[in-house]
Amino acid sequence: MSLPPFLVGAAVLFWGWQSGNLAIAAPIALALEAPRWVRLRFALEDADYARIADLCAVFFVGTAVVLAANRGVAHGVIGAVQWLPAVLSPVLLAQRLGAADRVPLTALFRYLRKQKERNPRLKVPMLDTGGVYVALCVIAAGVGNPLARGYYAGVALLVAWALYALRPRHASLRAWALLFAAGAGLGYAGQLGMSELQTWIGGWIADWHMRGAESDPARGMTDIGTIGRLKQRDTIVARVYGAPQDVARTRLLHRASYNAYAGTTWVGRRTTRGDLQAEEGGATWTLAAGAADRRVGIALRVERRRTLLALPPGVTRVTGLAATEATRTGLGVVQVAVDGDWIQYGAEFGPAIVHYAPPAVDDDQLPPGERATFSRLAQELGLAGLAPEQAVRRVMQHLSGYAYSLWREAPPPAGVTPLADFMTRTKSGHCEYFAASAVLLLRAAGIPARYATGYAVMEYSALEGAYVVRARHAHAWTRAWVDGRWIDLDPTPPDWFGEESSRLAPAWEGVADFLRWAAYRWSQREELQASDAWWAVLAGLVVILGWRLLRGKRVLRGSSTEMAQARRYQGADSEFYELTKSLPRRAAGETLTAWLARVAPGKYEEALRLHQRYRFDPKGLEAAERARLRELCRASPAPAA
Amino acid sequence: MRRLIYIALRAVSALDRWLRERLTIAGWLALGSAGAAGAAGIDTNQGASYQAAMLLAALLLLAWGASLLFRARVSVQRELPRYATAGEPFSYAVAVANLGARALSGVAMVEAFRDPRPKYEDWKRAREPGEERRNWFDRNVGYFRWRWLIERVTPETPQEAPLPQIAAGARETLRLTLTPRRRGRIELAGLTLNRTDPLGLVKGLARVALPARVIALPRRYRLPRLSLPGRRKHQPGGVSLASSVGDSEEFLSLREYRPGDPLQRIHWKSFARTGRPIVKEFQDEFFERHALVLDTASRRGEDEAFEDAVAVAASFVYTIETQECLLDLLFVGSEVHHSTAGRGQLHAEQMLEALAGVRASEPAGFERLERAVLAQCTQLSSCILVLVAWDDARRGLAERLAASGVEVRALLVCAREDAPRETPAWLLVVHPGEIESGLARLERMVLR
Repeated sequence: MSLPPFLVGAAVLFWGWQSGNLAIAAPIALALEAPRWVRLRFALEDADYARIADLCAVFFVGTAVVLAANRGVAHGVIGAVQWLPAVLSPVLLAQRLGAADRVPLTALFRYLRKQKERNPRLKVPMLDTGGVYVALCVIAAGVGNPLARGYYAGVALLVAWALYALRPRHASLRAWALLFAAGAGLGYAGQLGMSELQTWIGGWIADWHMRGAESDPARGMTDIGTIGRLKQRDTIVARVYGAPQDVARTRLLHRASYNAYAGTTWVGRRTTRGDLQAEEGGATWTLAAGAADRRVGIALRVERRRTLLALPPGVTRVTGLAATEATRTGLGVVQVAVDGDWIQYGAEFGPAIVHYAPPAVDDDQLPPGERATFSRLAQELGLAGLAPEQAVRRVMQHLSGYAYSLWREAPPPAGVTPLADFMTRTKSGHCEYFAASAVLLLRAAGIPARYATGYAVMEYSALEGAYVVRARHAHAWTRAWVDGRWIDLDPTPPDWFGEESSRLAPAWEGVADFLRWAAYRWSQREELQASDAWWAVLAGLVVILGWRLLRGKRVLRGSSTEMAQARRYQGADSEFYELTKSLPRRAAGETLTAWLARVAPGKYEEALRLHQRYRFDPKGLEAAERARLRELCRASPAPAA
Repeated sequence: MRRLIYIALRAVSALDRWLRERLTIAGWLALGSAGAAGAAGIDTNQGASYQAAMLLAALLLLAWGASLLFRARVSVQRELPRYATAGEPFSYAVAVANLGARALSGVAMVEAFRDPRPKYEDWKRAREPGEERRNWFDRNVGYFRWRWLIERVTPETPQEAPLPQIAAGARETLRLTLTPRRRGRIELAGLTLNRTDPLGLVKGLARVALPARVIALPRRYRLPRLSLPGRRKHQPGGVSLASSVGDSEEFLSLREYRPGDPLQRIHWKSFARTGRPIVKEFQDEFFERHALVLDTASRRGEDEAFEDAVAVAASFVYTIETQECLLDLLFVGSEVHHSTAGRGQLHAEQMLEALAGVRASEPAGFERLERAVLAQCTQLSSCILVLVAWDDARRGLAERLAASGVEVRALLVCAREDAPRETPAWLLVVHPGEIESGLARLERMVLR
């Protein structure tokens, strides 16, 4: 399989365009296509190809290591793949400048090299790496390139170019075009479907796996009604730094609030949303006016690019946060667009400060399925006639008689909602039951309330000198509108944290925490940067290596195809072969002489004699005879078949 | 667990064959690129290479669909040789007649082999040469053993031969070439005609069942001129080993029947005349008889050294003129195999055919071989021992043969690293890769 001219150059330019490295791609493309015009060739041996391939492997690993050190392993691997066309270009260049125009397979696989050393008789296939290189360009152009404008069209064009050149001669052009167009259409639909499928699967996985670690400003799935023990993870999702008295006031870090309960899901309905404007060089964001007297530093793990900030109550400003954009909803949710695995920011806060909207109509609504239970309970508790503070106290007092549990034995009886079952029969559940019940009970008493989610800050790590927040510290509580302001109420029994820690912390948690801390510290270091001087040293080394490899002895002249033919066998470039193609087919086993005597008696005797001497005589032909052979073969018009 | 691994290997082998038969080089590149692009772009939010994967997958799918439209009605005949030689390509003619209503163009033809996948019991029991040096994972998964078992019964992957355009009703002849990887039987299932789809990615297939078999004889080496001893010895087989039938010049006289005389020696005319059974008596036969003993009791299985030992034995079978002498071939399989060529007995090809099927035996098998060789040492003029290991038992055999008047030539074929430190002067040690140069010293190394 030989590629059409200029396809390799086009593929490299395509990679450069898509990856933003056009300045690097252009010289590579030029270098790879230049052998079409330059007649300089090198007689490279297997060992030379192996050295070049090894050098490329070292470059690839080096690139991956530097990028992994800077951006993490996953990003390092992706980054290294993005640079593959540049890193592997020396292999293809060596092939194109080599006399054989092929690379021995042993160059690419050390295992084969060892096999060849052990068994010198082993036949080593010669490989044209052009096709694989074009494929790598196409893949590398798409990796880490989510916007990818023109990517599909570009790939389709390159593939069409290659397939058109390689199309079988028996197939009509119309059939080819029809099939390719259908394939391109089907592929386009398929890639749209893939994207949709990923969105759907991503949502599903986030609902199932990331619960507690990740929040959605518009929707909060709960585990209310889930049977069995709740699965919770020890992963550290946030760290809180600050003076002990400040952190002591930050027991609950808020991420999202919701105002409507449907089924077992809380949603944020009819909320306002507004963009926040950054100040002071784009790293400070003011949320509310007021005098803040406390400050904590927070490091938050980022699961998605658009993440919800975890903020203490009464926050006025967020500082040191390099976000490209930030929005806030009326429910107090602050969503920011950030890069990296972790973000760090400071939160300034003070007492009696609220940065989110007063109650709206949705903060009073009881869902129809729960209305009967909670209205009756409110009546039984006599909440109707009480002042809001008293009503709140009574609700909290009532729920304090309930037990905390992560275990649920059986589904509720038919016709009973999980929340009603919790309130009236089991009286045992986890924080979501308590928070949701308190919200609905307060609403039944006429007090506007919201369901709030975030993290409980309870665990101090002496190793890190900070409070650590794990995925299993995800918490839910209640916000109630009392005396013209929102207050946070945590109806979950206070022993919940100790119970979870004792039951869920595995024996190896100390070691695991140390590793997590080390990984976190590693992720926060400065990026490795090479100065121009180091790049110059690297370039110099490459030049020296190239010079040593190609030095002196190896310069040949002549086009690669001619030399490849000359290497194959003596006389392979005889024009006689062209002549024979135009003659009727030779039967199997028929000698050239017998065949020519049959199809063109007496016509090519001299040409055949010269050809056979050129082909088999160790001395070859004299220049004049060679010219005569050429003349005879070209001058003779082929007889009609 | 082993059964599951076996099922997985079978499935992977079947998939591999399915793909190899259908995909063109461009198709392989498209499939590999689609897989790599799909893997690199599995998260569609992080990259766009999944788009390339979907395009290539769609093209492959359509190409496969289009390839199913290929039909060919042909009759095929091939003229196969009975024997081939391991490692040497052989070609044969195949005549293809187009029975369809339309001309066939752009079609290629390739030989298809009978399913070479080993049975579960064979795979479990077999040991690949050098398997003990493989790591724990490879030994237990047994992939390399699987591949070895397949490769030993299939020749090197044949090249497709392009068919010229064949008009409807016309007939064309072309030559196909196969190269046996090793000695043994090659089972051919039939011929496969293929034609690529318009995109050039997937080949459509038309199969023609035509089972046949070729026996690949062991490869052979050039031997130096050997002057085997011309000493004739009494052969009790007598005229049954004569090279011709009918009246024999060696006829001596008539005598009375003795119990044990074969019935065909009864002289019926004299029997009728005298009323008593009379038999013909022939002169006793004296001629040269040489033994070629192949030691198959290899600890390393059928490794390269073993194959070379078989090849060396085959080279002797080719080289020793059996017009005027007898050549006995002895080796151990499930039992001691003993065949005799020369003077109208077996032809060399039949002996080579036996060598083509030689398998490595248990190390204990050498004792049986030794007994069989010593049992007939009185009839032998000379003996060539082709050994795959060296120990006291083998040394003892050579010395006892020499002591009973047989001229012994002993060769040890082993890997360089397995060569014994001390060997007697008359033992020729040769290594794989250097067999021919080693054999050149054979003439001088005789134990008498």
